[in-house]
Amino acid sequence: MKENYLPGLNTRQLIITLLIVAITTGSNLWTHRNDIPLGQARFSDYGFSIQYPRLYEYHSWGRPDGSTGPNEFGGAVQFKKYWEGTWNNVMIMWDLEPSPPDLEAKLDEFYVSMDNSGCHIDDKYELKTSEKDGYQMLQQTYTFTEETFSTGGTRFIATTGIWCQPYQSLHSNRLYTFTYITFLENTSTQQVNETFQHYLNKLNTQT
Amino acid sequence: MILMAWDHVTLFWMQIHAGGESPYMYTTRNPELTPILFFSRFITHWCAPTFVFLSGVSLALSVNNRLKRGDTQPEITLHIIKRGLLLLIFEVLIVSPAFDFPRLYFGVLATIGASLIILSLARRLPTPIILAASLITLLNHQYINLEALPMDIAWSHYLRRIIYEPGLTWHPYFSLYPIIPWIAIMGLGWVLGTQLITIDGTETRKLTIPFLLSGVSSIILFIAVRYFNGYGNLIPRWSNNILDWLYISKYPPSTAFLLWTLGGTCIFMATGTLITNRNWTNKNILAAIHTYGRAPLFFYLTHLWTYKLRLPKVPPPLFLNLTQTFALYITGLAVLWLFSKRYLELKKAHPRFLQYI
Repeated sequence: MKENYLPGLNTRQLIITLLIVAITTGSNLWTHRNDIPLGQARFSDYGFSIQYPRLYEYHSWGRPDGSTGPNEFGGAVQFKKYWEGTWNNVMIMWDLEPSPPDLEAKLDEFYVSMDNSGCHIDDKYELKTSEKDGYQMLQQTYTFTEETFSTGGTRFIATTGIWCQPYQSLHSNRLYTFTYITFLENTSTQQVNETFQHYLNKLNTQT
Repeated sequence: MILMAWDHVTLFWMQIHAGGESPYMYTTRNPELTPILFFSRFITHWCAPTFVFLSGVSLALSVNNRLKRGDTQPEITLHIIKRGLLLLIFEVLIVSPAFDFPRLYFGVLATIGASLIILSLARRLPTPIILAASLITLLNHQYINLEALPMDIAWSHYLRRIIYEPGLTWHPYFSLYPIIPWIAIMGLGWVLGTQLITIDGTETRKLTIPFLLSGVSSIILFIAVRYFNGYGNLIPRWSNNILDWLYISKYPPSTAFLLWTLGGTCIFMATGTLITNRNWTNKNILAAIHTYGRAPLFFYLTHLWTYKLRLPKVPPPLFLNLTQTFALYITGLAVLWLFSKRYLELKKAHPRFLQYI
């Protein structure tokens, strides 16, 4: 045994200390159980909410037909961030539908609207069927070239999911088009699908 | 330290450098990073926590030795404060320009310096209180709320950056290593140091199993924290991709980051006790590594400029690929070994003059 000039720690003290630490941490966990994680933000409006990184820029606009918005009837919001060669863009569009539409036709309409806005679709991958909160969702990954982007001719990869669900407050149905876009270079379809799914899981349309 | 040198050589000479894992900076993994580049950054995560943790251990051992030789408490406190101030000065004069950061940059040396100054007094508290404060800080720091300090006023912005919220957004108020929670890692090291002094050098084998158990349980807890993807993750796990599992916040270090890195440190220490027991420290490679370890501050200060090889604010004349960077890294380690060896001889000849480095 060496000479010890510093205050020590016996087993009893250690157990009491660990107990205090556990109680404090447990209380904090309980108190903050509904908090948004540090660095994240929550957007909540127009009948849905989504959690996204706080540093992302937020934009919103009205319905594609030019009528007013965004509002409960229709519109789009976008959360995006460009940082040192990386590009993340999450876009949510919604519109009212009197009855559940043909999702494949709606997805085609979406591609046409992209083409009209200067985004030329290059390749489309397999069309998949999955679910969002129990509603059937059509999902497709594709690449496109954006001619109007500041650098000109930039190639992107994106995944879009489209589904329809009842919208109680207007006694109607709401069509959601959810898209994640990033640069094509060095991005695999698996990566873009995983990130799409991550953001989709953060979207709550049951508000 | 050897791993840390790799992180810095890639920062100085490679076009793409992984880093900035933070809820305030890069909340997502850079998709341009190949797995090899990702892991070459990831393995360096062990460096800073181990560096700070061992600073706490060495502080306890040093204070005990000074008390044993008859130094008074005020003398010891003053000595620690001087060392802390010296580290802050080194950060301003040597480290910040090496990273092309402004002089006010609050980096790892600054956080160790500030923590030493605080611990110069806090060390007098009973060990259970230091242990409780450290663990509570490490497990709960994500709940700190500094919004009372406005971000658009310079002094208040800088204070937030130094206390808990790292960031590089407002020149010159840069910080990557805020005092919280790094001081708590040093506090844990101090507590371990107070226990190590009760153990004789010949009894180190007694430590192997406790270190190993602590390490393995920390890694298991890390897996649990990442799996549940809530508490302890300042950067959420985006997917089940292994790289996303391991993309954890370093600035500030999340609980997940600390469990992984300090767990790893415990496993390294368990291995270290085995090496010591088998007397392998005199073998060639281990003896060479030991040379770096005996002059940690000297190594830290010199390795930055040895690898940077250019003046502050001067961009690299060319970017190196992975193989070339590795060659530069190995060459640099050989040079630094010579420097460290020479420095240790100098320190032996002038112990009083070089006591703080």
